[in-house]
Amino acid sequence: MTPTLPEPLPAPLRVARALRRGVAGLAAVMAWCAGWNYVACALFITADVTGRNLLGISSAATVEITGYMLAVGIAWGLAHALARRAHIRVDVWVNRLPLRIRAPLHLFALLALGGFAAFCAWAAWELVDESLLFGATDNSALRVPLALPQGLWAAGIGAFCLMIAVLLLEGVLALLFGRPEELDRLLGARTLEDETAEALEAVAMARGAGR
Amino acid sequence: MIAVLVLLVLLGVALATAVTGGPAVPILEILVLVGVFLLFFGAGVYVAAVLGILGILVGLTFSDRPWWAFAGQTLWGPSSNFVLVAVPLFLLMGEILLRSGLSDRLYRALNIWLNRLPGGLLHTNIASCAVFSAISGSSVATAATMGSVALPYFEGTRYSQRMVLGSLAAGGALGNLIPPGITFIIYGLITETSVGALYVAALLPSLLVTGLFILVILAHGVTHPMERPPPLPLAVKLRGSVQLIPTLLLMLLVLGSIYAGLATPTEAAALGVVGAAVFAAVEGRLTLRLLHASAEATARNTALLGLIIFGAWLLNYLLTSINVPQAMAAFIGGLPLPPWAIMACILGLYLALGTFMEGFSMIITTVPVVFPIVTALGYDPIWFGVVVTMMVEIAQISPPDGTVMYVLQGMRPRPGPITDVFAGVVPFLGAYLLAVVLLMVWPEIALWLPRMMY
Repeated sequence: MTPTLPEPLPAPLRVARALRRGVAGLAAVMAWCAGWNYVACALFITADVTGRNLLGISSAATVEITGYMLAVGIAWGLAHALARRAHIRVDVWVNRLPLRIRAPLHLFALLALGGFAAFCAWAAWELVDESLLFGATDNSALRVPLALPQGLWAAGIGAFCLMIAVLLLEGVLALLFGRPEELDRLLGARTLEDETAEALEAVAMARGAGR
Repeated sequence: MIAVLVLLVLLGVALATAVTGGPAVPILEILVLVGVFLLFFGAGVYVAAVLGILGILVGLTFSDRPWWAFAGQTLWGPSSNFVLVAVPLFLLMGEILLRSGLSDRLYRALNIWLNRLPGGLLHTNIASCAVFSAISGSSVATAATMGSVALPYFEGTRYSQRMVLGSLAAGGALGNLIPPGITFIIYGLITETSVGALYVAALLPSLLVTGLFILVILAHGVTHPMERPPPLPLAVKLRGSVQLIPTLLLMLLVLGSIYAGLATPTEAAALGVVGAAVFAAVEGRLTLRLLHASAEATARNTALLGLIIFGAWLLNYLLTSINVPQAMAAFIGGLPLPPWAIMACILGLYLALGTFMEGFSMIITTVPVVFPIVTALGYDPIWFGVVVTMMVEIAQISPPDGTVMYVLQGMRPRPGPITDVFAGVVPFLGAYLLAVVLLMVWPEIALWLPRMMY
């Protein structure tokens, strides 16, 4: 994957990269959990619909539980989406700028995202704190303590902040060591070619798997 | 380019009316905020961060209440909303189908029926793209997938390259309009309209647009006659159509359960996931690898939508708490213009925004502000949901910025200028716009069915 570089990477940058890869690995595992959680969600709701329509039984908590599954799924997928450069940016202008200007702009964008993510994480923890304080539960038949799903949710947003932090570290170091092209590779928005390649990969899987 | 121009004109009009009287508006602060907004977008900041930070700035500048104390609840509310659970489920369904070989089969089976019409394979392009994008929900994925399936069929034929590429791009632009689309879910959530009613309302308009597309191709086929393939005996046709049965069953399962009132859209989406998995299993393709790849892609795409929702909800909460949408609605409602002219301006704005913004972010950013205006003008929320979705789709295929067209350009077997794709898509663009005009003249096209059913 990594193109061969003309000279070896400076030590701090190497450390930062290892750190980023480690966090990205964790993020990927979290995203897999989030993805399979949606599969479970589909099975759960299907069971509920068929049970309700055919047998007249329902879990009476499906709406709440799957709502929590969605919230946790979103939060746990955030960091991985960032590592895969999937978060949407309006980049029609940025991509036309020369690398010299584009690289700092990538950092600026990431910094802004970091600010917003930190605010979200703070707000999420406040919410968990409040739910713990009042011992709040939901109105479903299970009386789920709200701090539980909200805590998992806040943890995902926390992991997102961590991912931004290590990306920022690597980005700043790359810029300091005069390697703006690294920054482009790390943060540049996914191009149409990337998206097309992904769709084609999926089609290839469809054609290959059955034979 | 068109986008910037329209935005500037609108800003100018707004300023002119504000200066020449009307209620006192904090013009300087608003201009600064608009400036921050444009700067952030220009610098390529993440859409969610632009919205969120703008929200925080609005709160710090205009609100004298401790708004931050409600921020956690504002973010938690939509992300744990049952209506929104439909989004990852529809995405998951699409990912499973994408990987289970639906696209080839769909194209081949539809082709048997359509290839003897004037225009031949071009009809198959529209039909298969429309069906596929309805399932997949992403226009880029649709263009890439169906392009890879369809383009080989045209090699060595006398079909006009322009029409081939144009019809593939246009077919993909039907995806969000044909139920079940994700755009309607988010619109329904923001405006508190029934997603099921939106799906019902979109039925006739999507048939209308498809019909107009078919007319475009028929006209092209009649003026450019080609040799028709020999007719196939009915038995062969029917045997070929057996391939379509799983797709039809799946559509029946998802849409039928919504329309029959057996399931909410979220529940229908869950049924769709299970149905898609069964479909893949029948094909012998339901592997752990397939499910894992689908789950990963779903997690990623849901997270990116979720982050935008975080930003948009925060901004929306603050704008509403300082009465911006209400004030805008009162202001625009008081303009000496007939409602249809204001509506035309709004639709023009969507067309302009759509040339550089992706549809989902566009709807989530604009609808909270535009919606009160629309209802104040006396338009039906359901009708507006359908029209906005059509505008978003039109924007995706309007030259020179449409992403779908660049994807197709990159896949062409025979190289040629991008203007071929532009020229090819223009007749379809015209047909789509005509459909919007028809909907403005006869809103009943969208509203008749939901009124019959609800």
